[in-house]
Amino acid sequence: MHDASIPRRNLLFRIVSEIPGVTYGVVFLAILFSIIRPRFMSVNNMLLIARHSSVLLVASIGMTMVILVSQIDLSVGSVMSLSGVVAAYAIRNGMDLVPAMALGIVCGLVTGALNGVMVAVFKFDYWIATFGTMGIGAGMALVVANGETLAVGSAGFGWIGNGRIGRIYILTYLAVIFLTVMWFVLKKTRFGYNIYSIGGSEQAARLSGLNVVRNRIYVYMCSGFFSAVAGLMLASMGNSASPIAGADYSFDVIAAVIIGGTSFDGGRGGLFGTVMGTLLVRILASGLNLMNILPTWQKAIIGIVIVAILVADVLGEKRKRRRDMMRRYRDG
Amino acid sequence: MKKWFPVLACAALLAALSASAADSRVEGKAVTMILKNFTNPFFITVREGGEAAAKEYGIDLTVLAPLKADNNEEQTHMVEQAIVSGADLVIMCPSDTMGIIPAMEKLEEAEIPVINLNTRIGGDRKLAKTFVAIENFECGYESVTRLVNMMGGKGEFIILEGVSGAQTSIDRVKGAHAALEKFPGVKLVAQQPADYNRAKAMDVTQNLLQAHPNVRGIYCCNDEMALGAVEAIAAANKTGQIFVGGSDGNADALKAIRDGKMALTCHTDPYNQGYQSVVAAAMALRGEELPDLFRVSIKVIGKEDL
Repeated sequence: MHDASIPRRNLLFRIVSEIPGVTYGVVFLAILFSIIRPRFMSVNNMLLIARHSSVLLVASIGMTMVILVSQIDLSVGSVMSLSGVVAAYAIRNGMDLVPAMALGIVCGLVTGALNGVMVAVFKFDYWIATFGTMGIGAGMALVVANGETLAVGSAGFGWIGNGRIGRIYILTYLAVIFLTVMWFVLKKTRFGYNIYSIGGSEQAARLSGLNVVRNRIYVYMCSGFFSAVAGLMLASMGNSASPIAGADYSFDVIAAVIIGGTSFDGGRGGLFGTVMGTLLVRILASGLNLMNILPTWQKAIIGIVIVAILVADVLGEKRKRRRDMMRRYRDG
Repeated sequence: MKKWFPVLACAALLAALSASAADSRVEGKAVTMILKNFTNPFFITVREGGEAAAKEYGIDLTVLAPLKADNNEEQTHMVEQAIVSGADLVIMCPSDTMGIIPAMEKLEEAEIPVINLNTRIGGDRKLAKTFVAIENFECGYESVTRLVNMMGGKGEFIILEGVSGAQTSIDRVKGAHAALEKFPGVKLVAQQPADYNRAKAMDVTQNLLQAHPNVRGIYCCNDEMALGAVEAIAAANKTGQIFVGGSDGNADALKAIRDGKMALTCHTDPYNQGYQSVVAAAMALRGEELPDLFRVSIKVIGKEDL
C-alpha cells in the first residue's frame, strides 16, 4: 500500500483507485435525483440527509472496526435499543441527563466487553457469541421498558435529537466529530495500525508481538460504545425510547459497512467507505420518497443498487490488480 | 323569462367563480399521508381510499410508509422530508404515539396543519386539527358481545392482543373486557400479545390450546391474528368448535367467515378511514372549523351478513 517505488506521476491514479467504488454510486445517484427532482439538491434536503444519516453513521463506526478485524457484531441493534431504554428509564426516575446517558453508554461498553471476552479469550464463534448478546440485549430492553415506549419528555434530551446550531442539526455535528476522531485513530495511531494488522493476518500480528486478544476486546468495546451512543441519538430524536427502536439496525449497519467497501477478509477498507455506504442508503431512501415510489418497490430498488455497486467494485478491483501487475512487470 | 337571463347568467358566473375560489384553496395542494406500513392489507386499503378522495378534490397526494414496518425513525424522517419539500398538510398515522411527538412539533413550528388518522398522537397537547378514526373500544365491545352470544353465553375465552403498547389494541381489549363483564358464565383464561401478526398468532394460539383445550372463543385485535388462530385451530383438528373473532374486515377474513372458519370480524372500514382523512384535509385547507373527532363507523360482520 505504501510502496515508495510507485512513481509520483501515478499519485492521482493512486488516489482515485483508493476511493471505494460506492463513492461513484453516491455521486451518480445524487446527480440522477437532482435531475428528476430538482428540490433534491436544495440545501435543506442535503442537511436533512446528513441528519438522517447521523445515527446510522455513528452505529457503523464500531462495526467498521469489527469487520476490519474480519469479525462481526450482531448485537449492535440490541445495544442501541437497550442504551436508549436504560437512559430513558433513568431520566424518568429522576436521574440527571448526563449520568443517565452515561449509564446507557455503560450498557454498551459492558455488552462490548462481554462480546470481546467471549470471542477473543474463550474463542467462541463470533456469529454465535454476538447472536447471544443480541438476544440478551433485546430481551433486557423489553424488560426495562416493560414492552412499551418510554416517553422521556426532557427538553435537554429532545434538544440533542432535534436542536440545531446554525442550520445544522446537533446529531450531524456529533456524527462528524465521532467520525473525525475515529478516522484519526484508525489511520494515525498504534491502535488503528494494530486493527489493520490483525485484520490483514492475525498470525503475523501475533508473531510480531501484538496482543491480539486485548486489541480484539477493545474493538468490541468500541462497537458497544458507538452502538450505545447511536441508540441515545435515536431515542433523543423522538424524545422517547422504544425497546424495539434498534431491532433491525444490525443489518443496516453491516450493509452500510460492506457497501462502503470494507471487506470481510479483514484489513481492507475504512471509515470513508462506511460514510459513503451510509450516504448511499439514505440518499436512495430520500430520493425515492421524493419521487413518491412505494416502499415495497423501494426495498427491491435498494437491493438492486447494492448488488450493482458490489459487482462494479469487484470488477474494478480485478482491473486494478491486473493493471498493478502489468505495471510492475513493465517497470521492473 | 328573457329578462331574467342576465341575472341567471350572473348568478351562474358568480357561483362558478365562488366554486373555483373554494377549490383553488384545495386543488393542487401537496398533502403527504404517512402510514404505518404496507405489509398489512389494512393500510393498502387506507391508501386506496385516500387516493380516491384526493382525485376528487384534485389534491396532490403522496402516500408513504416505512420500509421497516411500523418504524418510528423512518416516520420521523418522512415528516421532516415533507416539511422540507413544502407539503401543505400532513395526514399522520403514527406507529409510535409518543415517539412521533417531536416530529409533530416540527410541523407545528412550520405551521403545517396535521390530520391525525387511525391512531391517536400521544402527549397532552393538541397537535392535530382533528382525529379521523373508529372507536376501537366500541369495536372490541360489539365484537365480543356477539362472539359470546354465539358461544351461548358461557365457556373459556382467550384474547390475542396486538403489538404491546399499541393504542388500537389497548382500546379494543378494554372494550372486550367490558363486554365480558356482562357474561359471568364466560371465563377469560388467557390474554397474550401476538403483535398483529398472523404467524405469531398461530404460534401463540397453538401453545394456548395445549394449555386450555376447552376454549370456546378467541377474540383477536385484528384479522391477521384471527387468521393465524384459525390455522392453529385447524392444526388441532378443532375447526368449527371454536368461535374466532377478528377486526378490520380484510378479504382473507371475509373468505374465512364465508367458509365457516371464522365467526366474525369488525369492519373498521380502512377505505373510508383513508377517504375521510383526505376529506378532513380538504376542509382544513379551506380553513373550515373541524370537529375534534371525525368518526368512521364500524360494523360487526358475521356469516349471515355476507
